[in-house]
This record gives sequence, C-alpha cells and structure tokens, in this order.
Amino acid sequence: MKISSALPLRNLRGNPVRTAILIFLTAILSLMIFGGTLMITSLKTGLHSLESRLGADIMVVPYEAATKSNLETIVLQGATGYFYMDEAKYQKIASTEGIGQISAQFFLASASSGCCSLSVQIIGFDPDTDFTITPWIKKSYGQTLQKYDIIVGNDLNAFVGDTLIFYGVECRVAAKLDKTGTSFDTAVFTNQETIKALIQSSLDKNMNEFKNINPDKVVSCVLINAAEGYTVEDVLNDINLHVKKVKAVRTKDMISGISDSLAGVSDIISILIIVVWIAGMLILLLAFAMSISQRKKEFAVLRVIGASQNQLAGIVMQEALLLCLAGSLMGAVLGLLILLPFQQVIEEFLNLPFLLPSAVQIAGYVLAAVILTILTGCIAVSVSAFRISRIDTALILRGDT
Amino acid sequence: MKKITVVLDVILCVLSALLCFGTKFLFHACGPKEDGSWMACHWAEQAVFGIGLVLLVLSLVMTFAFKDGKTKSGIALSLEGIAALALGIPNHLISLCMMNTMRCHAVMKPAVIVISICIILCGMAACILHRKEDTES
Amino acid sequence: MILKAEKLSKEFIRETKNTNRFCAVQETDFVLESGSFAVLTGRSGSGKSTFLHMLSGLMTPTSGRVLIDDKDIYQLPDQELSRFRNQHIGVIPQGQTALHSLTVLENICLPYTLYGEEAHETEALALLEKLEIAHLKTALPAELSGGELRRMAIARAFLRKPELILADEPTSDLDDQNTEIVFQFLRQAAQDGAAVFAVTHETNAAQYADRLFRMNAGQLQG
Repeated sequence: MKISSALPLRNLRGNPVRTAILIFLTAILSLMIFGGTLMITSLKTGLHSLESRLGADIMVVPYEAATKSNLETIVLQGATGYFYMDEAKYQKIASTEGIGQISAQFFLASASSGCCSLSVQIIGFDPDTDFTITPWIKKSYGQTLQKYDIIVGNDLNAFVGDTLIFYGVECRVAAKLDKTGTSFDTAVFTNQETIKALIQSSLDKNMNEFKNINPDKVVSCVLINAAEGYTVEDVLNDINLHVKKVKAVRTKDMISGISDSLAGVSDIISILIIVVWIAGMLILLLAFAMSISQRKKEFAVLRVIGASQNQLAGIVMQEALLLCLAGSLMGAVLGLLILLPFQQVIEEFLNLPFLLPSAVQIAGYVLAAVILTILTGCIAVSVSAFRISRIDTALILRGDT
Repeated sequence: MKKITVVLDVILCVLSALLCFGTKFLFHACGPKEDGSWMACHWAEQAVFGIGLVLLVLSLVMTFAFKDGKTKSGIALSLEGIAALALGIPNHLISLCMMNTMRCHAVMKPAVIVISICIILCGMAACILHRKEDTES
Repeated sequence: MILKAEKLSKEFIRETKNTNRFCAVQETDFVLESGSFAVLTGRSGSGKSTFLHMLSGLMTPTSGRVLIDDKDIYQLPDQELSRFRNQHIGVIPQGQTALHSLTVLENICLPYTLYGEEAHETEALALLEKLEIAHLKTALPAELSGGELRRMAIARAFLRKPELILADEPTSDLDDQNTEIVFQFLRQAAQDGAAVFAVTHETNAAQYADRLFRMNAGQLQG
C-alpha cells in the first residue's frame, strides 16, 4: 500500500483528540445545513399542503363564528369547535352571482373520545357537491362512503377497520389519510348523512352547545370557488353585502398570517445556516492551519525524503476529506435522528404546518449537506495545503523547534 | 482497543439510565386526565421504565462486576434483545393515545425509539469488541 | 556520480549594518565525486547547513548552479526534483525528524513506500540491527530517546543506498561509541561508491574523511 495514501488516516488516528474535535465541528456544520434546509422545506411543504387542502377561494361562516380567531383556530390550529347557520342562508349564498363551485360543510367536535381527554374535530361534507375534501380523500379511499363510515386523519391513532364511538354512535374507520402536516391530520371526515346523525345524537344526549337546532336544516360553513369571469373579490363582497348574519372570508387571507410567520422562521433558519457556515469555515480554516503548522517539521521531513509539493498538499487535503466525510455523515445521521422522530414536537413548537418531504428528497438533502460540508472543509484546508506545499523546508529543518 | 470497550460500556450504562429515568421524568407520556385517571400511554411509560431498570442493572453489572470478555459479550447481547423489547413497547405492544399530536406520541415514543436503537447499536459493537478482546487475550 | 556546485551563493533578506541583504554563502565552487567522503566544519551560523541544503535541492540558491552528473537540479520541475532526491540523495537532516504517527520501521521504509514501492523491510531491519535499534522497530517515535531517533533518521537516509549522502550534524545527539558507528557507516558508504558529504562539529570526524572543508562566514575553505 502506498504510504502517502495511508498517511492521512494514520495522522488522524495518531492524534485522536484533535481528530475528534474536528469531526465534531464538521458534524455540527453538516447538522445545521441538513437540519436547517429540511426544516425550511418541511415548512414550505406544509404550507403548500395547507393551501391545497383548503382548496376553496372563499369560506362563508355564521357571523358569530367569523370573529376570525374562532374559525382560524379550527381550520389552522387544530382546535375543535362548531357553529351552525340556517340552511336557508346556504340557498341565499348559492344564488349569488359568479359562483362556480359551492358546497356546504358540517362541523362537530367529539366529546372525549375513547381513551383520551382530547376531543376530535369531525368534518362532514356533501359528497354530491364537495370539491375540497373528496379529491384528496380519493387518494386513500376509492369507494363512496357509506353511512357511519369515517375517514381519519393521519395523526389519529386509529386504523382501517377500527370502530370509534362518537356520542354513542359506532363509526367504522374506512380509510386513513396521508399526512398533510396541517390541523386536518387530527380531524375525522365523514359524509353529510353520518354527521347529521351524530349531531342529532349529541343533541339527544344533551351534549351539544346548541340546543334548538335541526340537524337537517343547518350547515356550518359554505365553501365557494368563483366562476370564470368573476373575481373572488366580487363574489366575496356580494355575499357580505347581501346575505345577513354571515361572514365571507378569503382563504388566502386566512393563510397569509401563516405564510408570514413561516417566512419569518425560514429567514431565521437561513441566517443561522449562513452564520454557522461562515463560523464553521473560519474555525476549520484556523483549526487546519494550526494542526498543520504544528506538524510543519513532519512535512519538511517528507520533502527531504522526496515527497513533491503536490504530494504534501494531497496528504493535507486527504486528511481534511476524511475528517469532513466522517463528520458530515455523523451530522446528517444526527439530523435524521432528531428531525424524523421528533417532527411532531417541532410542529407543535413552531405552531406552523410542517410536512416532511419524500424519502428521496430527504436523501437528496443528506447528500447535499455532506457534499457542501466536504466542500467547505476542502476550501478551508486549501489555504493550509497551499502553504504547506510551498514551505521553506530548509528553514524549518534549521531550527529544531 | 481496551479504551474503546470501556467507553462503550459506560455509554451503555448512560443510555440505559436515560431510558429508565428519562422516560419517567423527562420525556414522560401524557399526564393524568382531569378526573385523575390515567390514559393507556401511562402504562407504556411504566413498562419502559421497568425495562429500562433491567437494562441499567445489567449494563452496570457488565461494566463493573465482570472482567471476563466472554461474559461481558454475553450480557451485551442480552442488552440488545431487551432494548428491542423497549423499542416495541410504545404503540405496538401497548397502545398510546388517540392523537399523534399528544405528548406520548410526539415526545415519549420517538425518544424511546431513538434511545433503544442507540442501545442496540452500542450493544452490538460491545458484544463484538468484548468477544474480540477475549480471543485476543 | 559527480556533484558539482558552480559559483553557488545564497543571500537572505535581513537587516544588517548597511544593507538589508545578508550573505550566508558567498560564491563557491565545489566538486564531490563518488567514493569520496567530505567533511565540512565551521562555527555556528557560518553557512554550513545553508550550503548543504542547496546541494540537496531543498533551497534555491541566489546565484550559481548545482549539477549532478551535469544535470542542473534547480532547472527540474518540482515533481522530478523530488523524485530524483527520493531515488538518488539520502539526506540526514538536523534535529528530530520522525513522523509521529508511524512506527520506527515504517518511518525507515518511507523512501520506498512514499511512492508506493515495496517496503524492503529486510534491508531496513538489517540497518536497524547495525545501528542497534532493531528492538524498537514497532515502537512509535514518541517512545524513543534523542539518540535513537537520530539513528532512525540515519537508517532512513541509507535505506535506498543513495549515490549521494548529505548529512547535517548526524552525530549531534550521540555518545562517542555511536558517533564512531555513524562515521564508520558514512565511511563505508563512500567506500561502496557513494559520494558522502557531512556537516559536523565533531573534531575526530577528520580521521574518517577524504577531504576536509571549513566554512568561515560564508566562505568555503578547502
């Protein structure tokens, strides 16, 4: 074996403390690059997922529910709640000019469900008119929902075939949805027929906040897409002007708060990555320079024995390459170990939609972080490599220091 | 060689202690309900605590009570199996709460999984290295 | 082989009385043939080591040329010069010159292994035997005394049986007995056909040498 290719490894093993510190440094660098980019992408994927899940231009809710926070906490933050308005309002809204698609939804929150003290948001939709939930449910469940069939969000600990009991009514889990990274992950979806039965049951058991409602004569909210040739603004204003006791909200406006704070978090992470990258680069630059100047004499000896300038530079580069490879892989694995299992904690902490990209994409980020870290190490060491290849061998050998 | 196995032994002790007491006090499952009763995840927490205690005792015994490489290797092997059991507890052997956003899913489960995997990997390394040490001496 | 130095001189940039140039070696002509052993003595700072480094191709002279078999070594590109030094010149530098991550034996075999050649361990062990450090072959340099490290450096320079041996204070850390062994070694190498040039403070080196030089304030006196 050529000693010049074994030498870098031997040098690294010869000084385990220095090697460990440098590996640790590069691991942090790669962890930051990988973890940071994965966080930013997950947030963006989450927002995108939320946008497509909302899927309508306008949401009309009873006026008392539109005290915006109430609606927002249900749709965006996964709180539970419900409100109703007369079905006549739906008819009135439907008659507004410029409506392309329109569908009503029905909300109910379960009382404590089974084992847990937390209640679950139940969303009922009308299979005949629905255009927001059905396309997305289709991916997980091809058939039509029967009465007392429910579809559960990905974060609910229930599986196909399980039975969940809401207000004494047994419901069969027909499908489980893919993860969306939004509040819909903890919701239960069902058709109009089922939810009306559940509302009735909650009324019968005297567990509903509303006392005097007829489940067949109410809706919770109305989702609307503007028809071609009409702006969302027109339809929105028209409804707010002409239909009393309701409030029409642009879904884009609801998300704007989220996308604003998401942009903020992304910016902070981006700045962090850049700061850590620059700091890491500088520290590595110094660390390599120190580590190599300590061994100046050894390199001079190699010159004496007949190593060329390129060989010296090669040894130094290989040392850095090995260090960065080990460090960056460790950092990436550490990042995976933190971000993958604890994504729920992160989601809750940030209070923003958070959806991890596909495995292939994550692998791509790992690769990118490793390459970037190695590149950083190589740039940092190239200064030292150049200097060591140009050392004044004779001068170093003279002084025995 | 020697140094690395000692470090591994100590790491195994620390990980076991973390699994045992960490699950109980740091990344514990959901708290009691308003009426004071516990949810299913609490029993998963108790089970992991118990298993963690066994792991801790065994890893301490391996580190301090025996000098013989073969015995140490055998105990390391048993640690792997027990850690695999701990890995299976949350939501597989004992089911957790209804929503994945709840503490037992979001915090306890991943923590138990990560620590158990670390114990299994370190146990594997310790098992092999102790064995090697034994054949070398 | 013939080593020739033609009008070789070296100036360093350093503040002195009237000028910022300091002349370490004044224009010197020097010839060394195969089979002869030349010894250079002189006071510290007189330019001995500078001269030796210029001969070994490690220090570009300010003026003049170094010719080995009529080849101007400073005209060679770095890669060729390095390879040439590796194959034909054995340099014993001053001070401790071990690579700390390699064992004694690996250190000695470096001239071969550096370019991926076979290590020639048998020859290396024989050299270690002669220098009485064979028992240390698997030791790391950090475990060796100064004298042992010196002998290791000597073995390393001799391993390839180079045609030109340049030794800078090869006996500085050695006791009388070992000093004698080293000079006999150098003498023997010359007899075997190498051109040997040693810089030393050792007064009894003269008895082994074919030719004796003195360096006085950068001036070579033969």
